[in-house]
Amino acid sequence: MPGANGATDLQPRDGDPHADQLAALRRLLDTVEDGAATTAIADRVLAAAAAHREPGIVAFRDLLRIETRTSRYHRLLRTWVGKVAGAIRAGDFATAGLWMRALTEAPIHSSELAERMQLAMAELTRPDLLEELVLRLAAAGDPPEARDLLSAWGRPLVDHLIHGMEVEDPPVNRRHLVEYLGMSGTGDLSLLVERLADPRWFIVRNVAIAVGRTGRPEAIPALERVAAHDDDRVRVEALRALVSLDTEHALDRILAGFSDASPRVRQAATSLLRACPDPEVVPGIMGLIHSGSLNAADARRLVEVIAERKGDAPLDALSELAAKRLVVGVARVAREAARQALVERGEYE
Amino acid sequence: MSELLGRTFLRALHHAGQRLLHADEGPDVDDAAEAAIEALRHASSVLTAGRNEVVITAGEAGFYLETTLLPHASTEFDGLLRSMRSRGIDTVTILRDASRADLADLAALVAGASTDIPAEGTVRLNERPHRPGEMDDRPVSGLRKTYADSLDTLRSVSRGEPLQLGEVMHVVDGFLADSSAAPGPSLLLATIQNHDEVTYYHSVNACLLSLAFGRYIGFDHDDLRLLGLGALLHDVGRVVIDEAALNNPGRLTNEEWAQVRLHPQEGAMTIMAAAGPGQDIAAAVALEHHARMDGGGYPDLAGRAPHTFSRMVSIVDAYDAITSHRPYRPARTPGEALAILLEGAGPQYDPNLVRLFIEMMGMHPPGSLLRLSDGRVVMVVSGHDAVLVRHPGGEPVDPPEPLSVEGLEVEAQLLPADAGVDPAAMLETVEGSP
Repeated sequence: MPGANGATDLQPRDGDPHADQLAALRRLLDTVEDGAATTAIADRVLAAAAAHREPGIVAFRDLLRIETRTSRYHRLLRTWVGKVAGAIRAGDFATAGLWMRALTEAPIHSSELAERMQLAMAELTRPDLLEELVLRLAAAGDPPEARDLLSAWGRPLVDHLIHGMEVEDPPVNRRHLVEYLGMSGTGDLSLLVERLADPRWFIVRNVAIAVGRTGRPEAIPALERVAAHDDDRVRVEALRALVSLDTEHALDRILAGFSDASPRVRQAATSLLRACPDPEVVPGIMGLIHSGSLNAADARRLVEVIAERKGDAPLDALSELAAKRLVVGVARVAREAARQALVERGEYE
Repeated sequence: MSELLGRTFLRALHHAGQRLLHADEGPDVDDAAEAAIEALRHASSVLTAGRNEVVITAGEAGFYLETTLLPHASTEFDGLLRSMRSRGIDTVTILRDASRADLADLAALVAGASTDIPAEGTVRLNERPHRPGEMDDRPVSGLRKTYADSLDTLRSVSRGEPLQLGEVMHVVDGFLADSSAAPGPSLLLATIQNHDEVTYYHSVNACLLSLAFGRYIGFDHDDLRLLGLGALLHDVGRVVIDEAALNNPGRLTNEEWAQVRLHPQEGAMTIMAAAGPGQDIAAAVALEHHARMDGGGYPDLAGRAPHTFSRMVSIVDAYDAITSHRPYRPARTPGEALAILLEGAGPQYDPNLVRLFIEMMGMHPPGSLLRLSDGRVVMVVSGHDAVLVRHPGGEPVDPPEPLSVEGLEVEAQLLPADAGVDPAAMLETVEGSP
């Protein structure tokens, strides 16, 4: 790259205050014959430029921080509303989330500016825009990159989504609303937890599902409280949510589900056992069968769960059950189911 | 007759018109108008020296002095050109010893301050029919046309029209299409200065310098577009700043200084509120171009490093400002400007970028006017290529003669005003030479 006209001589003018600088310039240009060094510097510059991320949002954050004139701050917030809304309408939920967080994570310098921020958030939280957001998210297949946007939006969005569950004819299938509710609670779990006290069973059920989707173990105590809800549809989802959040005690929670009086809960527990990768599943089921607390139908289904698993432990368990003699009632049902499973495997004659 | 004489006359005409527009605003303004009219009379006298009359044509392609196209003046006084054409003025014939009153009438008429035509007959309008076929049909550089377009785009912002980033990007695309990998013509054009629309010309110059700089470093086309956009809009916040503060020849008051310091954030906000591509980078460049590498400057970035493009624009911004005349200080030569940048490398400017910029520009950047030890004056075109513009005795060389400065002893770099040469006016000559 070197080759600029550095070779000609230039004498500083008499009394030139920049004589020393010109001499330094002269020296610098005399060293520029090393093209490799120049290329290396240029490469570093190119790499540094590529490393900058979201310069507009960075600039916006700075403006929020340094702007103290109320009218300009207001203008800035109006621009922000346009940014978030524009990104949503463009289906760019990741960018919308970045802009949303640029405001929600900004430091607040005075009560007046804080009030302006709240007004901006209220302006953004227009029902038409929220409805458009929900429709676009569903059309996009519930993209996970929307999580930042939804979690930063907070309470206004949670309220909107809950409202969508209340109406007769929601804009999208309720399962989408539950999905977005889960994303909305990722940042501030309390927004969802407080909804677990809702008097309507279907709201509590949906919120329990959403809480499970947040992946936040801090929600376990609140979920444990609704695990004893009067409505078994709620208890089913509370169990599922607890199992997903409390991985350490997931098996214990599933096995405990078999003591629930509701067949729906026990059915859900059976499904969870099927999906549970814990090697202790088989011993756990054997313990339940031996405890005598199961009914015949549950015992048969649990033996089938053992039979579906691979390895020596399930085979040993089935063989143990099949070898029982002089058993009656549930134990007999379990024995017959085990023998049937072994026959199907070609392990029993 | 040189383009310089034509430009000097048109500048004086423009100044006088602007002063007359505000002539009823107070005695100070009246005095300024009187001085401007006197300057116009003087420029007219110099223009017509040795001739009975001179004809200036406001044609579609630009201003003509007799039959010679004035490409540079057409860019610089594009507003004056449009004003004359909109008033149906095709030609202006200026007689030798044109009267002061007629010249004042002309200035007031083209500025829209009056509808009176010159009454004494020493300045005549549309007396000579405009004959396009007789005119110089030398093509105007595409770069220069884009330069004029970019000025219009920036002017529209100052008129309060919404900033359309797509239009600004279109201008940048024009510069990219019209310029080549060799930066000479772009850098030559970037020496244009204008004392009335300092911010606009400075912004366009910064854009040209940035694009050349970005190309030198090796940025790809997409990045060059963003860099050019950021550079063109880096001072857009100045349109909301009190012009008086910007042009104050003396020490700024605290209030004026506070106003000046607000222009980065005003610019960033203006860009953010606009629609179109490249908004993020342009807003960052507008906000950060006065931030120093040591965390100083303004606004306070709270320890955050400016974007690479902001650092680049910071350098070209300073270079163009240092080499331009300002009301509060004289212009410096390109070599001096580079030396000042070098002095600021580290605390003020990114040292890597300063080095690359100086390497690109060389000791004598394109457009530099060099007085050789034998008294000749040459203008650097690119690298060692130059054109001889003044003989040892000071006589102009017309047309300029190509030569190489390699091995020649340079006595000094000259300012355009001292050399009596306008480097940007030679763009077409340089582009047309082999």
